[in-house]
Amino acid sequence: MTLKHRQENGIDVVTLPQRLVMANAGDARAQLKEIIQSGSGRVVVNLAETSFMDSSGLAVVVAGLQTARKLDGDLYLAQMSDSIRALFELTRLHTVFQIFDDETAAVRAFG
Amino acid sequence: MTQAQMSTSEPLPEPGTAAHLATPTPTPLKVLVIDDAPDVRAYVRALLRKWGFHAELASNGADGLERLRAGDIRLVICDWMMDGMSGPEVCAAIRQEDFPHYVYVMLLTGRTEDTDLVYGLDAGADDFVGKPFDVQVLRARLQVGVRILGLEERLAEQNRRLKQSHDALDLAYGQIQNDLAAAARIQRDSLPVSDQGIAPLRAGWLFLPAAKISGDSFHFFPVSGDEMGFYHLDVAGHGIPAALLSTSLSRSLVPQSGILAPNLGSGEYLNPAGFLEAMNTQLCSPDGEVTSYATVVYGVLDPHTGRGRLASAGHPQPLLLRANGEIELAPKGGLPVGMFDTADYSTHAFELAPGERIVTYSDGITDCVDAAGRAFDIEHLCALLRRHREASSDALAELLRAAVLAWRGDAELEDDVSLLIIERPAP
Repeated sequence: MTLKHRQENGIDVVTLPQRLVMANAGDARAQLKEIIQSGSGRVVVNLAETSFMDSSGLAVVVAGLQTARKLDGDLYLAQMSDSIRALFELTRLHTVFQIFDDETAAVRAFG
Repeated sequence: MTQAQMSTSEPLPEPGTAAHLATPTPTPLKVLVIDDAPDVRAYVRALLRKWGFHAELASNGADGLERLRAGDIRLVICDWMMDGMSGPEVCAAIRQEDFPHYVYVMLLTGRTEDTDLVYGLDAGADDFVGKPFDVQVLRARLQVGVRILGLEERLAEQNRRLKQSHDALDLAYGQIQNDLAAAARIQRDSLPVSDQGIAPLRAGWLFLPAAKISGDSFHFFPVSGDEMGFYHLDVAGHGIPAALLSTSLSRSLVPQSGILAPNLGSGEYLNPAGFLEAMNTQLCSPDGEVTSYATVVYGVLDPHTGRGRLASAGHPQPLLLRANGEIELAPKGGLPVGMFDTADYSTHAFELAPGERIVTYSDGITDCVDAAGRAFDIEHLCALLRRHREASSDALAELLRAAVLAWRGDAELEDDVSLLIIERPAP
């Protein structure tokens, strides 16, 4: 699995896979970290394709946020499905992330 | 240098080549010559010796077979036309025997018709040398035999190694299964056995690990003269790593054995938010990047007044089952423990009238999907709790267990399922 990744105005835009679960979480986490550390620390994670995420998947996104913030950057989330939003709300993680309805808005929010 | 010396004494890198056949003993390779003509036997023996082989002789098929049963000969030169058993008959007999290794048989024959060759091959011969034979041809064909035996030996060696590693894996797998079973027992030991310790409160629970051992755990215990504490924990992930952390956390959380025990009655055990803060500090990795995290609910309840307090860390909101059949959600809490060392938690009060219950559960139950992919979900869970509210907490847990397993059907559980009911009984 390779994460889809592009840069836009110095901001890394990463799309996560359809399922982010224990089986691929380790791999996804390592790739996301690598992308963030070789970039500016400003990241938009697009969840448009992600329909299912388990607790290990959640850890991938949290670790990404922590990596970005260590670089004085941030990680914004965009286009999450209702079920993923429910997961973020259940775990209260929606209070930690900035969440955007669309990717463009998330990229623009970095200014 | 003679041919056989070449084949037996020259160092070759790969095991199983001609050189390997001679190792570790440098003795010459043995070749059995079966021929009823004494002059042919003597001549072939002389050639074999000249080429560095060791020749053994037999004057008929029966003697030859008897000699082969000693098990030390793998290369045979056999005449076709003999008194008693013919060459092809000897070949067939050799193939019938259960030798520990392959025996390579060359037939010496004047017959060169294709039908004869087919007959000989069918009988089990590997090669033919025409008679009268060309010495160089015999030597070259012997080398082919040596090569093939080398390959056969190499394959046998590889098979031995495969079998060894297969056996080792089998052993290790058995060991892991045993260890998992032992771990599952240890984990079950860390779960409640009865609700006597929190009387007059009653409890019921359901525990279904996805893979023998579980990342979920829960327990209840007295925390002071008046109050009982209870927790429900779901470590992220499942399987062995989650279960290890879950079990070690449970051990540290249950007061009798735990590291927090000195605080019993005065510290975190009476203060749910403080309890979660302590857990969060303990679990957060020093490098600031999440490694292991858990969702957890911790609460205390005074059975006599029905007043309780609880705090939650990213866990599904506990359900308050009211006497009139209503179900309320306990307030939302803070972030899971083990993610952010800055996370803070707050304590919320709740109250249970006699006959009311509080239910905590892991999301394994509400996320459990049936064959059509539909989740068991919270509405379904609440409907069952409502419908069976006359049942004892024990019986209710048992009903839910059956309902979840029926929902899942034949498929294995994808996530650990657990649920805890704490009841303030009606007088």
